Amino acid sequence: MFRPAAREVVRIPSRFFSCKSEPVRAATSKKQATKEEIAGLIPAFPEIYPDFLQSPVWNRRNALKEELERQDMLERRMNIDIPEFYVGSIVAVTSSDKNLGSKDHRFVGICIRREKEGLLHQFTLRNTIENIGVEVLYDLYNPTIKKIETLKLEKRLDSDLGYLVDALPEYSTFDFHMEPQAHPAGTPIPVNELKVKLKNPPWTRRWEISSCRGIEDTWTQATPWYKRKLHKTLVNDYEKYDLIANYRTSSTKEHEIYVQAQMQKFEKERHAAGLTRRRILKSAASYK
Amino acid sequence: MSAHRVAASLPRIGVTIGHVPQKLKTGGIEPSRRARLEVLRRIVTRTVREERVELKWNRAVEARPYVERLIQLGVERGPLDEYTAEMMEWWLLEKDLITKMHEVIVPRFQNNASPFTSLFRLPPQRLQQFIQNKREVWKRYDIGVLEIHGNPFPPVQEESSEQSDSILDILLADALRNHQMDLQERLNSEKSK
Repeated sequence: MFRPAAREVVRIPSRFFSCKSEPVRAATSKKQATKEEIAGLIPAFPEIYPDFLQSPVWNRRNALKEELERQDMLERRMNIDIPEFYVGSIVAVTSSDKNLGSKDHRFVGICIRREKEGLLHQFTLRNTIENIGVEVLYDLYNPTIKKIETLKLEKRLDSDLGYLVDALPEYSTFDFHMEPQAHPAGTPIPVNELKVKLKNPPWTRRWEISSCRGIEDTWTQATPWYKRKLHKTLVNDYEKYDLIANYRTSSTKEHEIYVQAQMQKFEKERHAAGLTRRRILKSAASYK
Repeated sequence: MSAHRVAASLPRIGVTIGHVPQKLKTGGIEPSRRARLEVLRRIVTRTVREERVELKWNRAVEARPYVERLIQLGVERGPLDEYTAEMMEWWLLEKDLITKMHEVIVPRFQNNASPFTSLFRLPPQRLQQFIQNKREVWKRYDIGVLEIHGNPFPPVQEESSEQSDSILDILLADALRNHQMDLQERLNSEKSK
């Protein structure tokens, strides 16, 4: 029986570059990921804490202002548990309203947008109530908010679900008495790859030329007038390749590491004082 | 809107980046943001191919951060990352350069931080454009040299010699060297005894 020599079997083609599933290269990328995990840093920090990022406009980045706001945000997070949620998660917000007397106002909906940095961070919830679409914009650090719960932790294909306005109402209808679904700790956040169907035009925006991945087949539904207009439309889908335009508006790793270290230090101080055991910096996906 | 955020952030780029993208002359292509990217794409491809290129100064300044970012993507994310692969595919027009990037250039900077490139300014050149009715038209060009670190060419800038030109320093250094040699000789002779 022919048996190849052991030396021949273990030879790895290092010279030739292949695309995927090359165990040697995959191993090196894994090794880098663990280095950050040792320090307790969260890889998905910009997605979980968009309020701790810097402004995308560079001349509005002010170190002192950011520092002062961060202190206030951390203090607030010690008083209220702000859970992890993403655009596409189903969130319930309980807030007090002076016109309701002693009663609280609770709103349940899908988070369609998270915007602005620092203390001004906002998120929008959307639901359909009595066949009318309702969007409520909350300030995350509004002191009248009493409780924020994540009923279902998941992501969608887009980072802005503004198209739900023009989608069929069934896509933005959620039960107010929905039971919270627990997310198993340490598992990655599921991405709901649902593609919504839009209502017939007119739409609020030209979805047929937008790059949203969560809409199903906009072209057949678009009106002939807009189809004819397409060749005059400035389509700038090549802008995603502008690496430096991207760099100008995004946050840097150094800033994220600095903020996370600050959050860890703040937590440690508060825990040592024995006042609270609440944790601020946490992530369901990287829980150990 | 709904532009997907790049999954994990990358470190800062260690070169100067203006807050406004500069307009570039696009020679033949209708000037637009697309044309600007096309010009930069050709420069980036040429830089990766040749490792040291001579360009108009303003183009070199604009292209440098793009080269830096591309190398950084390779260093931080590796060839298996989807976003990196897409960017390499678009920015490097000649496909063998993607292999060169991952196998030759990125391994050089595996444990280094940015900058991975240098930019030098050459003396400006005056070139004759044309002669019109005995009138000579000259034009001045500012020239930059963009290079990727660790290239096989001799250095652009002469390394500053550590030796001083002062006669006193030369004599002192010589005296010290002689003293050292004397000591060494004495040590050797003691050993041989």
